[in-house]
Amino acid sequence: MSRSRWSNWLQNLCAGLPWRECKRMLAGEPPARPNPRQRPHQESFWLHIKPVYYHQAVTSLGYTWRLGLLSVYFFVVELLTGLALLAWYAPTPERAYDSMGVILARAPMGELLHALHYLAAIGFILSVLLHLIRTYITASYKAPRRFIWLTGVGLLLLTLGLAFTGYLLPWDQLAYWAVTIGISLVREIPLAGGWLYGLLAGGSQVAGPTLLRFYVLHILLLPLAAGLLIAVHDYKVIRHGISLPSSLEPRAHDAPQTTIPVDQRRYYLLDVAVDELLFLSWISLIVLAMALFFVHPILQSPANPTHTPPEIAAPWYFLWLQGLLKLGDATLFGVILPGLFFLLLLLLPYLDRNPRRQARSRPLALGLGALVAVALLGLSLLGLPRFHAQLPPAQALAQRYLPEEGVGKLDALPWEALPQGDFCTDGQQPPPGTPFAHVWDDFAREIAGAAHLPNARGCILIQPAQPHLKRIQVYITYEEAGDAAAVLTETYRYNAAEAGP
Amino acid sequence: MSRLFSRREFLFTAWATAISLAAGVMGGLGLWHASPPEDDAASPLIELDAPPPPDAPVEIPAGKFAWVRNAQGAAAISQICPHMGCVLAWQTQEEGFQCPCHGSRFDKEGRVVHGPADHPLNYLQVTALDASGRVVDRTTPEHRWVRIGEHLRYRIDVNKIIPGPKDAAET
Repeated sequence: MSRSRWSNWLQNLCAGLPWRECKRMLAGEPPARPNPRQRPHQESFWLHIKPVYYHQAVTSLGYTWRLGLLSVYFFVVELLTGLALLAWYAPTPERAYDSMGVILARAPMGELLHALHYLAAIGFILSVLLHLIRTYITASYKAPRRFIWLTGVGLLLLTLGLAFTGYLLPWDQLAYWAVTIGISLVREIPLAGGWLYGLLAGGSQVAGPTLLRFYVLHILLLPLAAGLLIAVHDYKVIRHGISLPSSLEPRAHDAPQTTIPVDQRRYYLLDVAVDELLFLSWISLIVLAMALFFVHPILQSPANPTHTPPEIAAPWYFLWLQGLLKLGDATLFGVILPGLFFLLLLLLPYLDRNPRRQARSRPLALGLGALVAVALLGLSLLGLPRFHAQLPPAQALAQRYLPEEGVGKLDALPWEALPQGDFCTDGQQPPPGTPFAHVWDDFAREIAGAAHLPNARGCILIQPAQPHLKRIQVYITYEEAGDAAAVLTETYRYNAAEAGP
Repeated sequence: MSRLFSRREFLFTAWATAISLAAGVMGGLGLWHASPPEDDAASPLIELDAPPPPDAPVEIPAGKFAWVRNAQGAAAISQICPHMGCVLAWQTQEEGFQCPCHGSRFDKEGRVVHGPADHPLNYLQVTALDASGRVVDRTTPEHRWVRIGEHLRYRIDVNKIIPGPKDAAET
């Protein structure tokens, strides 16, 4: 190869940057004048979505926390892991649950990919929320960046929509009932509610058509819309620059990007790019470690449209809505108030006419923001099942140890720690000192101390049902108005480790 | 002479209007295509051979209703919470229905004991038939409790809904 062809090839590899300049850049030397390093940002698609340089005040981690970048990163992780899961997932009520079982138990790396998809979804929502809070606190939504905020709130809604539609896909009890509640809200929308419900659910209740529609929304329409809106959002951020800290840019309408003095610039190539890469590598490492060792989202029992499990709860990011719904009329508290809230949030930059950005000059905005945060937290607390599910005392006790859905004190124990036997408060006792004995002691104490349960007797029965399968039961008998009464909960535990796939 | 529209402006406006209309109509047709047809019930009819026992209601999961008896007769009371659509559970101790999702409570005849639900439970239409299949009695909004008798069968139409009693005076 001739020398010039070789150098052309290298220049292409460097996105149009001459090889000599590329080497200087990699060595950390300052650019020549006029700066040839701007060229890749004009020539290459991937670099044109990044600015040539930033003001050095906005590139420190402590100012933006790189939350916008982080949100896009999680969006991309969701796209990739989601694409991989599509190899096995089947969007029909007959097959969805079983295909989830295949992903979790048999597909190579299926459990890991599922855990990553689950974790990155949480990361996505968290980073979008924190990004919004950061932007609010630093008053970055003011002119000329009002429209960026608008697209950002749109992206928040799309993120919640993606989470909600994805929630139904495993087709287990939690998915089915959380979505039944969520989608019932649509019915409460004045005038068009019934029609919109039919459009989303494809019928009069959550069933096959609902699953298919949520699937299409989840894998196609919402990601497409989010991708487009991210592009608009990003374009406007580059166009107007990241807002400087309020000490440097105290009033709205100050446009910093075009006037950054040469000595205060930090170039994307290669400084900021390396920062971002390192940051995302750390995040990837944390998420991967969590997915490998700590977080294993489980399937509940398959969806049963005829039975709502006790103590059902919305996912954490919708708990505030569940709390709000407990306050009263569903149309008012479930549709009008949240709708008004999101409308005000959307229009915030056009309502807040205060041009000053420094915290001391906007006590009303910051006070209101704190109030909204406290209200959302309080409503989320109210949304927890403990504030509505007044189960009868015996059933509540049994649910604490062996709940119908989810994991209780008893089935949190590992397979080896569950000894075979029929243990009763007035009969056989487990050998002391084992992890099971600790749970048993708590159980026996609660049975003995239950004031509402006269003559209560509690049993924990653990028996082999099949090879590698144990049946666990909690059985409580007591007297109720002179009559004998009983409560029984049961579950089966499969020893996956020993039985193999 | 100045005209209101130039030829160019007129044609442009006409084109823009036509394209917007076409896009709107196509969008509307798409939504219409996705709207479910009126009747999509899976199994609307459920037959029961026996009246409900006198003490506690019998829950019929297949129809998501409770088979309830009082002094006037029998009724099929829907266990779908009118608030957000969760299936209610019968609570023996409280002699009523409770929602596992938001905690609404209803008495044995479906009246709201406390919210957030603000509507009583729906009743489903019950038809009593004798051994030869002749209709003996049928519930209506004015007559919510069907007659109980020997050798009667009961047919419950899960899709035919009768509004429940609003207050204690009404049954």
